[in-house]
Amino acid sequence: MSELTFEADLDAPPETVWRALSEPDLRAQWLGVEAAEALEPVEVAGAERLSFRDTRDGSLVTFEVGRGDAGAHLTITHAPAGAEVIAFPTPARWRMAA
Amino acid sequence: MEQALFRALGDPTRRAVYERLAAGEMNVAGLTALLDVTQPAVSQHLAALKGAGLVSERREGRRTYYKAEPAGLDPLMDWMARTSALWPERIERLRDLLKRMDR
Repeated sequence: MSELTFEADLDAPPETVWRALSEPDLRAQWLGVEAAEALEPVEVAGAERLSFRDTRDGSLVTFEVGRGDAGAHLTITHAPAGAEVIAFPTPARWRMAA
Repeated sequence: MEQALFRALGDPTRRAVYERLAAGEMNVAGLTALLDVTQPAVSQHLAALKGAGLVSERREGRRTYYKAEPAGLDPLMDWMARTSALWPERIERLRDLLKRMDR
């Protein structure tokens, strides 16, 4: 698969992490203003899952927040435009670079 | 650019054609026999893959052979490299922000 996944254990309650993800002003503080402004909301599920389309390259960013050992566990998935439809082929060069 | 790439690979049959050609050079007749699709359909898929820079052709007499071009995946590789570098820094900034926020 060509999507990228990042995981982080955060020393804060999930509710606080959710605010940092869902409130545009807070989002801009850690994503950077330009990147934050390029994100258009696609889907929200409870206070757990939030997806955005990056209007600059069409990629899809999904945040998932749950409880973790330290407080909250955050999973970030970033998929390039159109990647939803692909189980990616693997020529030799791709395997080497992956 | 990634979008053209994914459009080209978004079709399952076209992807099957590409995967075959990633394993080795073939002509239209060979692909047609292997994939159980009509010859015009194979030709159409090859044209789309060529347009996206994913496949190249080589003529030998009256025959044309096709193979996958790994360089066609470069836009995707670039995107992945750029994006991989981005998020760890952002997560560190998120940690700093969370420290400053009211609990």
